[in-house]
Amino acid sequence: MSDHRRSRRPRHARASVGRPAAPRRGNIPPAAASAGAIQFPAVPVPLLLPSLRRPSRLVFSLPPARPSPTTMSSSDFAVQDGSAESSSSSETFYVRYFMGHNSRYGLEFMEFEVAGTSGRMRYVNQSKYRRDKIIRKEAYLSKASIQALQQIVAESDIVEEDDKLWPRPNNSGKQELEVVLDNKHISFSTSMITSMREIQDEKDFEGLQTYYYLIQELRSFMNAVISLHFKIIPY
Amino acid sequence: MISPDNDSMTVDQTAGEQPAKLHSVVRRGRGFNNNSKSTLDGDFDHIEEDTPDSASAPAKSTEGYTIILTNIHEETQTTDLRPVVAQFGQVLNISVPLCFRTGLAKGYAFVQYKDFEAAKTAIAVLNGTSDEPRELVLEVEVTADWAFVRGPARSGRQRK
Repeated sequence: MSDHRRSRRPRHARASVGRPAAPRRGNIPPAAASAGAIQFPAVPVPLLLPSLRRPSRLVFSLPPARPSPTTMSSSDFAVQDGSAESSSSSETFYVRYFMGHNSRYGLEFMEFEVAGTSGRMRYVNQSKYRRDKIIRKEAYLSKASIQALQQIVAESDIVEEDDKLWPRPNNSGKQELEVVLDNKHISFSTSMITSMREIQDEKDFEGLQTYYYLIQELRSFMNAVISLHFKIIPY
Repeated sequence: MISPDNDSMTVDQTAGEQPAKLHSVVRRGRGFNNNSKSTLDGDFDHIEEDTPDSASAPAKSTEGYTIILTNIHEETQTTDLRPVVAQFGQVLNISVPLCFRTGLAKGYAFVQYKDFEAAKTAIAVLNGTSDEPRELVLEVEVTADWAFVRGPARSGRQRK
């Protein structure tokens, strides 16, 4: 057994110890040998990163300019922006998002809701993976957090959209978005949309695009909130 | 704005449990016809507080105290934020969610402190309501507040 194992070791392995790894020019053609000798890519990757990290203003359409920062105390929480979307109070704000599907293991879903009046945030996640138990978390968001979330929803103009032409929920899953903002109450349902490519040919592409980006931002908000509030640092 | 068409209707009250006190609501979408059982029933875990306090008092997170910064500059990154917020105490976590259309900061950020006093000082100094000079992030006056409050007293089960 041990003889067999020893014979499987590459013959040059022992010889190369303590020596700089030089390309072995035996029967290898010169081109392949030089290619093997290159240790690093020609362009160092870190040099490429800053330009990726901060996109140019010319390429992307930026959201409208932020309101000039003003002092705001926690007791007097007024909206600083004078625009129509966000001049509402958080009294009539509610958002609920559901995504899930019926697999052969049962209903697997993720859902969260935020009620603006009380600030109550609820999060449910049920995965049937290896008999996982359902996760239910509840916390109360401050007015400032609610305001940040409400601004995301208001800026997206989702309440002006309609799900009449959107793909219907199907076997691959269902998404629901319910929003109450000012005096508008929407409750949309559509199929799982996992990429922009899937909605490229839809009739209501603009509406679905608005929806898709809003979902991404709602989820990144909830992800930040839940992971910061509930996650244990294991060291 | 919205023109009342076949799919929009004006009702006096919203259906169901939430949000009441809406007098004239324009409803739209096919989700209203959904009669499936609510998945938001059941017992929810929450973080238990040591001492009772009012509903609007700041709430403890699992590891510390979380504050939210708003009005941050769109090019703010974690590395810009850390030196500013770390002056007030030990920072456990910083989260700067991005706008998916632009890749820039969405305008808010979360910072988690280990200690209550550090978070309290940070809010006061960043808002400019303390005796110290106001701290700026990327030369912008940000607004800080607690991210979580206690809410009404509950008798549900504790988180494990």
